[in-house]
Amino acid sequence: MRGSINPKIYSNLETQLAKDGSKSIFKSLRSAKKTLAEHVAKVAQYKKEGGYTSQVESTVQNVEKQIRTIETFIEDMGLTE
Amino acid sequence: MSALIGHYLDRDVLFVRTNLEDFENILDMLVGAVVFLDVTGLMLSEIEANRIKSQMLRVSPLTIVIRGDRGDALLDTFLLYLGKYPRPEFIMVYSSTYEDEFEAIEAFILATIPPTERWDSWKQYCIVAMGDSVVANALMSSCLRIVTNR
Repeated sequence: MRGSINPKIYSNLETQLAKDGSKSIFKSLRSAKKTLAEHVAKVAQYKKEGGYTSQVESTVQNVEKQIRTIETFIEDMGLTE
Repeated sequence: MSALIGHYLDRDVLFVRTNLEDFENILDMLVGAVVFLDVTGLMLSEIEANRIKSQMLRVSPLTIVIRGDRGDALLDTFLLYLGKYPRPEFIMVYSSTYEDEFEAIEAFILATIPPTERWDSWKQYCIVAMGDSVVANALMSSCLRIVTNR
């Protein structure tokens, strides 16, 4: 699981935590999850309409990795809301 | 009008106020940027949406976040085109559905990233307000509050 995180996002989160605190990390997580949910819905919509889905699916993969990285970071740092 | 608002995590945060006619002139600022594009209140025709899409893709921003009451049609214009004609440099495109301007900018600054493979090209955040001027002012002041740490 750890291999599927993005070290650059992780490093960014370290700087963000130092600057803006843990509350901002949870906000990042919530926003990324919102984006993911909307994009998953788009994939379903385009599939139903017979449209091209590769663009949306690649974004979904990027955002999923972002979410995994934020969740790992929260766990590693022992952050709580 | 464009202004350097400040920096967030060592990256410039630019705010740009423009319109459909002048959009071409601000494209250089989108290079190496994650872009927040607000089109609130704009009644974009299909031709105008396609023009914005073509102009932006010419400079390959890293990520494009579209916000506005008619933003969904512009989002579909990007997504369907990029799905049909994938580019060597991947561009993430999605929408911002936050109604409140502060929340929208906060989510943009805190949660927007470039595609993994283009991370090292990331130089700046660019907020582009093309739509309603009241909304543009709210976005600008939200931006200032967030970047200057509230």
